[in-house]
Amino acid sequence: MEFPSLEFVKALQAKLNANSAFFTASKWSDVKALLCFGNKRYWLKLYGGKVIDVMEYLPNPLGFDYMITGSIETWKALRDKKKPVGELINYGHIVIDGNMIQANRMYESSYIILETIRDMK
Amino acid sequence: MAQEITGHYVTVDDTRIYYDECGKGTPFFCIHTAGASSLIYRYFLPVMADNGFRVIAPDLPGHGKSYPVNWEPFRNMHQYAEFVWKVAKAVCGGEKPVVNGCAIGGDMALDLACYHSEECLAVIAMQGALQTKTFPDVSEDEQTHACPGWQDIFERAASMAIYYPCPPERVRELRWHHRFCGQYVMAGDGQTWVSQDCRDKLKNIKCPIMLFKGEADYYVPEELIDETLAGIAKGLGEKVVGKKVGHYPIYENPEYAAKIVMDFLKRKKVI
Repeated sequence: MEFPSLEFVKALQAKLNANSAFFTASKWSDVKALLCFGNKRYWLKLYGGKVIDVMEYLPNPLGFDYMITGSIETWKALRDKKKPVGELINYGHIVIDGNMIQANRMYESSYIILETIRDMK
Repeated sequence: MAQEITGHYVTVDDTRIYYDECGKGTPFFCIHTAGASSLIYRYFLPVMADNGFRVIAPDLPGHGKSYPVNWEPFRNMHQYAEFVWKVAKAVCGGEKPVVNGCAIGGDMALDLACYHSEECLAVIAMQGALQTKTFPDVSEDEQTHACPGWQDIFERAASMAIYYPCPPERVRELRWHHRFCGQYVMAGDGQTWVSQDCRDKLKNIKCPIMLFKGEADYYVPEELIDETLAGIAKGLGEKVVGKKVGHYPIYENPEYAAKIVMDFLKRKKVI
């Protein structure tokens, strides 16, 4: 599967929606998150413990609440397991930005998203 | 059979402080990590007690069963260390201790070495360095309305900095250790970490000191350990990089951490 691509993000959606830890961490979500893989951006709608919609972000009229962003090289380092998620976040290679009240409230689910991206083939 | 850990209290500057204790012998004073409690030493205490020490691990002020000082967290490492030194003096019964600390405890142990080394047998600074501006500034995150989700953020900050693979139940336990501390106090710990600055004081160290870094820990890059070692008088300091451990060697592999400590103390003829 090509990374990054809409196909990859749809597969990510399916993985997250099958993950009970993600459900627990996002049960009371009603947010729009943007995943930025370099200059490729994908929109995710999280609601009630699920990712209920994904699309490429152009942008759309609904906008987004927060973004999870990094360079392609950073995502490659994550997916090749050269650097742990924590290190990439701690040193600002992966940045979570936007409405930080929402982003921090949803932090655990963002971490699960990152771990899932790391572990997907 | 492992020696029993018993709970005790001491009052320092009108502040009631809790500490765990295990074994008999020379005092071995253990300072815990940010946002945690003496529980982080749960597996380490009996191992060091079997090595002939009276091992003491307080809950830092505002953590676990210890009250905060004047209802505020510490936000400055040196002030924090000076209070903890009073706790050490109060519980060590006039004997010189070996001071051991990990993470903010490692920074604190290093600070104590800079100011009180003549009253210490030796100092073990795990994941501590002369300055540690390696964590985001969390001074605006003390209040829950400013940073909802803090609990998850900090639990992840802790549990991701260990060596993997790690059994899931041990990861779960480590996360649980960070649920005894409120956001207000934990954010204070974060500020003390970035406030650490011993650069001008390292030359004052007069006792043997080991700088220990777990290879998987990313909060203290090895260059900072090297820079710290370079500031300490020749013959007193040693650097050890631990294999297959991260930010919490005393929790991740207590037997291994204890062996490294014991080897160091023997090499330096402390014991």
